[in-house]
Amino acid sequence: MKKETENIYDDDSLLRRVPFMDPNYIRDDGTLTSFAFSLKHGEKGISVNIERLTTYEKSILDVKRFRLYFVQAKVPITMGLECIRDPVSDNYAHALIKGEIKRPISKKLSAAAKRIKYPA
Amino acid sequence: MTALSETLLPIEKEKTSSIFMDNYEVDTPSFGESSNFIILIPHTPFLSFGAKKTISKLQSFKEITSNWDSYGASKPSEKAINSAISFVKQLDKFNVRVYFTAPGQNGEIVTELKNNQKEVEVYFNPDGSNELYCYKKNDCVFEGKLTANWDKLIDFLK
Repeated sequence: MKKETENIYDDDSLLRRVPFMDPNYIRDDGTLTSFAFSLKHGEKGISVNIERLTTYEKSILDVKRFRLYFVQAKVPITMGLECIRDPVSDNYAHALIKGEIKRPISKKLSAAAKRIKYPA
Repeated sequence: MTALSETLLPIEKEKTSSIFMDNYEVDTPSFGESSNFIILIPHTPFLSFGAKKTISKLQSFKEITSNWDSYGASKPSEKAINSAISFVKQLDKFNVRVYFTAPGQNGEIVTELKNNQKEVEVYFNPDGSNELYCYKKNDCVFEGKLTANWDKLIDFLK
């Protein structure tokens, strides 16, 4: 039997919701500041959704307050981080990027993230 | 009053030391071996438009309440904000502008500087500490404390 952790593949897109209202983590040129992929005290991992298991509408939650970005799972994996399935009651697509997420790692993840133009 | 002005003007040229504060210059001219006076001179430091704009944005972070991101973010630390404001003022003397600033989820403040492919992140933490990270093309090439690496920071951005 396959473990849940085996269900995230290198080419999976991991969606991350980023605050858009002021203050926010999106620079004027649309790129992200490191805070977009940083941990709050007590968090076990960076919360993401697996794109193929969800919709943009479900993932963005509130189009007035958030923008949607994605990174390919291979980006954190090649940095030595783990991408782990973490389905919760109201979000089957939920996953966590786990590991030693220091400032330079957050910077690299944020730099690799691309915007999803939703709503178009 | 006239006599005082007449006395102070020539002595200004003989001053031995001065300390700049935000709004005053403290001048301690020497009046010979036994006479020392302290003169407070109103001093409005020049700040660029960019620095003023950044400071205004940083000041606005003081109005933010906890849970501002609806995910339990802490209220931005006033100590961290004030440290960031002092940093912006110091940078302005070197004509270095802050590219972006934001509060973090843990009450810290980040200020970002940029020169082409070179980027710098300076974090001001609620406990008064700071962290400096220098990047070239998103690779961290140096990290340390701002306090001990001011010259390195300025050189890096040249």
